[in-house]
Amino acid sequence: MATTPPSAGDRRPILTIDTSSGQGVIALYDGQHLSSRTWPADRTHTTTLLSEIHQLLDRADVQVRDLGAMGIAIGPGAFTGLRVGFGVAKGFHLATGLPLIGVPTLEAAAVAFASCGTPIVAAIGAGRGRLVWAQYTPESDGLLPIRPLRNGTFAELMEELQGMSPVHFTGEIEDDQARLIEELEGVSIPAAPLRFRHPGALAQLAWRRWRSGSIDDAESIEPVYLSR
Amino acid sequence: MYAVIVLGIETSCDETAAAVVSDGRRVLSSVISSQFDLHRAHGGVVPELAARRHVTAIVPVVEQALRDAGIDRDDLDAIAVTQGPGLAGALVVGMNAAKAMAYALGRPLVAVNHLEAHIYANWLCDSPNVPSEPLFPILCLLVSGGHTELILMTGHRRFQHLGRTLDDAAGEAFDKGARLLGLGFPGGPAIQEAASKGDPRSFELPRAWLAGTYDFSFSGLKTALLRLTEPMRVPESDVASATGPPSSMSGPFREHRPPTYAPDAPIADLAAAFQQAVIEPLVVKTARAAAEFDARTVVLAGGVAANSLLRDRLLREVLAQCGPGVPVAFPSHAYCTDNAAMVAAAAAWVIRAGDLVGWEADVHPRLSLTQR
Ligand SMILES: [Zn+2]
Repeated sequence: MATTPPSAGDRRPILTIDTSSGQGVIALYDGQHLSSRTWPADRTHTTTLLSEIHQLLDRADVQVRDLGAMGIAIGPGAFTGLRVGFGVAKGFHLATGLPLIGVPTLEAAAVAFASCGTPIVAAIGAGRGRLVWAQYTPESDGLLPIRPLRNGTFAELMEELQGMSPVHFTGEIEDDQARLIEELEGVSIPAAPLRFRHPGALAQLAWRRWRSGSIDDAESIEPVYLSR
Repeated sequence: MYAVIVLGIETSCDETAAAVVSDGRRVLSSVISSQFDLHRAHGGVVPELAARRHVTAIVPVVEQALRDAGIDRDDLDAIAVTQGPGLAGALVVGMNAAKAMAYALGRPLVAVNHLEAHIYANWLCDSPNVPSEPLFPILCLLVSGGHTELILMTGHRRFQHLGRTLDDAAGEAFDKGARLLGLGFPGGPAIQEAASKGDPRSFELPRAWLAGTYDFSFSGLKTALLRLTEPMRVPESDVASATGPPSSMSGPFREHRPPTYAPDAPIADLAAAFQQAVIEPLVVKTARAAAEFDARTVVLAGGVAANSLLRDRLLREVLAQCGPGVPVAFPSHAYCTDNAAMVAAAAAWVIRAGDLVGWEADVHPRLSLTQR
């Protein structure tokens, strides 16, 4: 949905939230300053998300009605966690008319590595031992998705990475899985704490879209539901 | 006196609803987005589909409720939401939207028990001339797709359980009965319609009286209906070859295929006999409890309270057992089935009790009426 972009002098911050996985991620960004919170939410997004948002906004002395827009990670990810995020985003929209901007979760995972010069594969857990992953190739102004999201087993992910060298891998996976990926020829993978989605990544993607006047329809926007 | 204006939000099952209610009594607006079409093909509510639909319905439903009431969001005094019982994934959508609205507007958040809300539907009215409140003690029969409970209400928010179903809820019994008879979903209205053309005396179906208790049981009745109808069915192999394989409209979610009966099968008579067998124990036990506990009002609540045979029979039985001084009340049709006006109504008494919740409030899929 296109809208009139905010004026250059509009310094209102945006709030971004990511409840796609057990790692809760929120950020406040005004084009110059980033403040953020991450916490191990596991299955407690409903009881923790709004308190975390309150602490983030309160510290910055910002109220919901002072925000310019809200970015939300749309998945793939855990369905219930995503719906908590959508509930909160839509509640803020209902209260203040705040525009909503949906950002693919795996694009937010990958964009921090956009300058690495190789294709990037980003993955997230899909429950019952399965993973969902996306492939991106860096472009001058961001990431280009190479192929549709894939839902598969770890073995299938390994197979795909093997055929891609050189490639950069990131995402929330188990430590022993990371070690197996590390051993692959031509595949680079960051250390465990650097594989979590960075709060600034979602903020950057949502900010760019807001400043270019591209927002989503707050009524119909919904999580990405990926089945096998 | 200043009226308290509450926005109610309800997403516990398959209806996305929002309403604005003044002082817990007068409905200024009530909007319900039914997911009926979404679940019909499956012969029942599919939780994952319900949760998905709430996400896309919540914004237009709440906006419509505010527009219909002619209320600006800043004029709301509190936001109320169903906390449970219900489907976890569905409850989460309403709870978080309500929480975020309350937070952004700087208003209190009220978490409402869905069962309590069904009972408080009896306090609602559509006109500015608000009638007097039902008198305590109130004997309440709460009958819906998920619940069948006999409750003594001694004051606002003071509930005492007298009895409950030991297996299926009354609404669930209607759903299962309707499915066995090939009458569609939801079962209550389907059975009632078919029964209107039938004779309840044509078939003898069992009633579980559970003597000496105020409990109910409907599973034996369902089994009896199955035994009775099985010989009347057209074998499935004959049906399959005539209609081909089932379509897969909704992908991974299983579809329900209704049984087929010969054109001359006595479906109307079976529906009438079945309906009577569900309702009779409800009516008899409710009236008996009203007499035993000296109730000054008897109220019906929940989706099955819309059943007209239940209403008629209960009026007669309470009159017979308690005399003419005990009125029988039931919510208007629109407030029997799941809606948000009842949530905003119940919230008014929660607010009066000062029972507000914080931002860490959670959903409670298995919440009971007497739990706080
Ligand atoms: Zn209900």
